[in-house]
Amino acid sequence: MTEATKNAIVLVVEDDFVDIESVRRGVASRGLNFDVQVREDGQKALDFLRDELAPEQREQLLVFLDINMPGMNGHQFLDELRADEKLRRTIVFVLTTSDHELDKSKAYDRNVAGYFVKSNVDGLLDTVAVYADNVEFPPTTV
Amino acid sequence: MNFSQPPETWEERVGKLSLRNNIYVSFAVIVVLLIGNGLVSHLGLLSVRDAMARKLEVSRISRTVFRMDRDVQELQLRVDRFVVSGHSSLRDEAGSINRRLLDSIEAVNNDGLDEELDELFTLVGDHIRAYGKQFAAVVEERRVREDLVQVQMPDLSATVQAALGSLAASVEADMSSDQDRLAVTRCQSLFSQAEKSFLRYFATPSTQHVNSAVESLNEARRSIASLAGKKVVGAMRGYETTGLRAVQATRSYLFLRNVVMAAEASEVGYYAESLRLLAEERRNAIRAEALATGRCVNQVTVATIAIATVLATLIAARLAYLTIPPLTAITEAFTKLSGGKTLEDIPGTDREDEIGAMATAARVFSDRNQQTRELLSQSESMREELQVQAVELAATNRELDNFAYVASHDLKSPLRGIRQLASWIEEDAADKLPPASLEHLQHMQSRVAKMEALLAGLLEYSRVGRLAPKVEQVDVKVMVASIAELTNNPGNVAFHYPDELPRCSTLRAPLEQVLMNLIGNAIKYNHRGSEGIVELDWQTRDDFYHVTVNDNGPGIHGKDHERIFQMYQRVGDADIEGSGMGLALVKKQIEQMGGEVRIESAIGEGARFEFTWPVQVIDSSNAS
Repeated sequence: MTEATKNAIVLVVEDDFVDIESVRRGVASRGLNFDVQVREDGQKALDFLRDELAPEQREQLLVFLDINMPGMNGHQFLDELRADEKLRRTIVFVLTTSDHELDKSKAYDRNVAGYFVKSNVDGLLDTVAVYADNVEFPPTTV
Repeated sequence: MNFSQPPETWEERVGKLSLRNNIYVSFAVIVVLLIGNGLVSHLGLLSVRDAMARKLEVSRISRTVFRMDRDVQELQLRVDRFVVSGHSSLRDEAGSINRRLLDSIEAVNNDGLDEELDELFTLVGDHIRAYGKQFAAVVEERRVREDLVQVQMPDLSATVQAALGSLAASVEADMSSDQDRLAVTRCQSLFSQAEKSFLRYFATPSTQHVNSAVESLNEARRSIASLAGKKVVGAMRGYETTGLRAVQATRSYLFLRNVVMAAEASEVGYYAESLRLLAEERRNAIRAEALATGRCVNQVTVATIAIATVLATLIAARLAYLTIPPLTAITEAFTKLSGGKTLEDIPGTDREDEIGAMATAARVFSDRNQQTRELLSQSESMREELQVQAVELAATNRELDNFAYVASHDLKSPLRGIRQLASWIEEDAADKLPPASLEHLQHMQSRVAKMEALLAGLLEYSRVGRLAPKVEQVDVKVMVASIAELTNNPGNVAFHYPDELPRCSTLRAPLEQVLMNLIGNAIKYNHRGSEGIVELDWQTRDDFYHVTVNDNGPGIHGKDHERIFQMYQRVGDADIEGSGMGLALVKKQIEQMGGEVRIESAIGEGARFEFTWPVQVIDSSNAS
């Protein structure tokens, strides 16, 4: 972990407490320097990205997206996200209970960076730990 | 029996005869008619033949009579000629004709005629015989006469001539008177006259010649009465006597011929005539009779033929009328019925014969058709119902599927949450908790884990038979070997399996599940440690594999043999981990494949699980 790294923002779009807690504890136990933000449905998540997020924060942004949520669900969120000019290129990892082909297809159709099932949250975190350090984040538009 | 019905009339009875009997009777009648005709013709011919025979016979008799007539005439002719000429050939001919006549009469008599003819022929025969006899007498007389005339009389004449000659000489010598000489000459000439008269008589028998001869002779004698001509007179007398004898003989046979024989001949002629007339009469009678018979026979034959024809035609027509229309109708009915139709009205069911039986059968047929129709429509509606039900069932199954899946899936999530939270608490606050709470936490975790296992088992169970796995090539040996490796075996239980295990075309996952569960259980529950033995045996028999998993573990009580195959049932050591779903799963998988599973075991005697698995697996994955 380089100290020069700015804190990456990890937006967890998830409504289940235990799952949220899994992520938090996983991040903590790995000593990852992430700023974990949680929003419990798609709309709140979008509002956060549009309104609360500073442009420079967008430069190191990762989204962990659940699919099954009340209100706007993961797919609807993705649709909106990819339609938004400023947010189109956002890196999204799907973290969900569903291993259904349809969900996967829809997600990858919307260019998710990876699709993970919740039983493998460790796998996701391990991946993201390395990923965040090495990846070139997408350029942001103002 | 309906007692109120009036007794059947004869016509009704006949009408009720079965067709077959009707046909038999009709045929019998026709045959009788034919035979009758034949008989009549035969009899007619016989009587005609008889008439012909009688006619022939009568003709024969006529011919015989005619011949007889002719012969009689010939006979008479010959006789007459013989009488005149005295030729022996004529005599012989006459005799032979006579014999011929008698022979033919005898021949006719032997044939057995009726009395009248017989009598006549006999009479004719008698008379011809008599005629013959008379002729014999005639012949005799003729011979006598012949002798007299040809021999004796010339002799005597010569004697007389000699005597006259000598007398003439003596007279000459005596120089008697001219008168004497004249007397002698006169005597000589008178004698010659007498001779001539006799000859004339013998030529043409007429009494005047005899008289003139006698007269001449008398005069001759008188003429020389005065002279000494005793010799002459004597000789003349001798000549006369002989001559008269000859005359007598002639008269005799002439009499015979002219009277007796003629009489006989006329008798014969009369009877012959009678015969001819009788024969003629008979012939006419016979001819008339024959004609009559012929006409009669003709009429009778024609009549019988006509009657027979008419009767036969009537019978045939009646038979045709009885059989053909109802047959046609019934045939039509059956044709329609065989086409699957049902008929409202079947013709002929009220009849009591074969057609009636057929009509009744057709009615039954029709009813069956109706039944079949109804059954078909029933089965059609049932099929539709079934289809609907099948669709509903499929829907229900899908719902159940979804339910089981969703239930287990959705139940899993909070469980996982509980487990994770419990473990985080443990991680974060283990040192802060009293030991009891720690213990509680651990219990909580283990129960959660159990529930997760139960749910997993349920999910798996619900999946059996729903997903349609594809048929694959499975190397059983490889599968068993990998199961042996993966199974937890802390007690080091020995697991034996045969070297020869087949490759089969089957469903991999189900087979794997079954083997894994059975072998896993056997190893897991074995209490003998390194002394423990688990054996797999694999046989192929009929169309099934017969697989056995044998162990020397603690065994299972007989009362539990059924229970262990049910869901969530566990027996034996409760410390050993298990969901209670394993054997239920095994049973479900095996039965899904069309096999059977059973257990042989007793407490302390190990356990032996046997199951059958089909050799041929039909790939149904394409069907769904």
